[in-house]
Amino acid sequence: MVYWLDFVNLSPPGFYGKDVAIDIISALVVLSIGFFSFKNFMLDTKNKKQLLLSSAFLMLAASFIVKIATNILTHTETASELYHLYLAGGFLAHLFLTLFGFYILYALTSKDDLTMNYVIMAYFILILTYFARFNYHWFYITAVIFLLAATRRYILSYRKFRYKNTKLLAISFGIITLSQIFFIFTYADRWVYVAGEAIQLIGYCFLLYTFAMVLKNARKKK
Amino acid sequence: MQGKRSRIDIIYDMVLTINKRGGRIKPTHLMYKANLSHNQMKQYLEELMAKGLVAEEQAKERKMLTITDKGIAFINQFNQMKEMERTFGL
Repeated sequence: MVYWLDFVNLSPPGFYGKDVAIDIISALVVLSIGFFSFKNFMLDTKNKKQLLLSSAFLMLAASFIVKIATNILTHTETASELYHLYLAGGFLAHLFLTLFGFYILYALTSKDDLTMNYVIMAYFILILTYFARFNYHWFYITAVIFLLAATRRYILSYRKFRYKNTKLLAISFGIITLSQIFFIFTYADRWVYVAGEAIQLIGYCFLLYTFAMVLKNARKKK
Repeated sequence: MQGKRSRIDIIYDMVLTINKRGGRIKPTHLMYKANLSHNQMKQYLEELMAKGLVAEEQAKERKMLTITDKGIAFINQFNQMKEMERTFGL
């Protein structure tokens, strides 16, 4: 483990490879939604919300890609200085991109124009990322807070409009939130990390199902 | 009550109207169905034809507007965008 980084390689050795596979699936799901939203933004370039939605999902995809690359590296440990530098940089980028992606997903449902808030939050997340390297719990606790806030917004939206896909979205993010809660307790037992990854996989598969339902409903509208 | 339509909403309404009429419509019918003034109609129609969403054809000395494949693809993508916005509560 890198001496100043608290959470390189949380995965138990028996789970090596499977953790990467789970992250690849999750990355593909968020990448698809990110590209789809970006395509929507290109259709109407004045639609800032679509740009934010695609940015959030593309950031999450980038965070997974960085995590996958870093995890593969930790599974094949060497002692070179460059290796440690890459690990540290990779994990810090993963933390920042994940938290900022989750924050955008929460903030973009707000009716107010929050342009300056994004800048301020990016700054605070950067500071948090710096401190989270000493204690990984802060990363997952912050992720849980952002995800709970986003899930609450989806639940409120569902209660107001009774739209089935919003309910599916709230369930997806509820499951992803639960996975982050499991990750907080990884140091109690490394197998808690495995449970967290499994729950995360279910969450992102559910998100993929929600996305498929969105496309299906759009086709019906012809 | 519905708010003021955006540019993209008006384009969608025009293309959708043509599609619902079996893919062909008279320009005057499109103007009334899409709730547009003459000037708006002229302006938007130029844009739709420049983007290849709608084409003009001459049928029995009458000018008709037809929807293109690109126009149908536009309707699909617009519907997907609206579904996404509805799902996320945007």
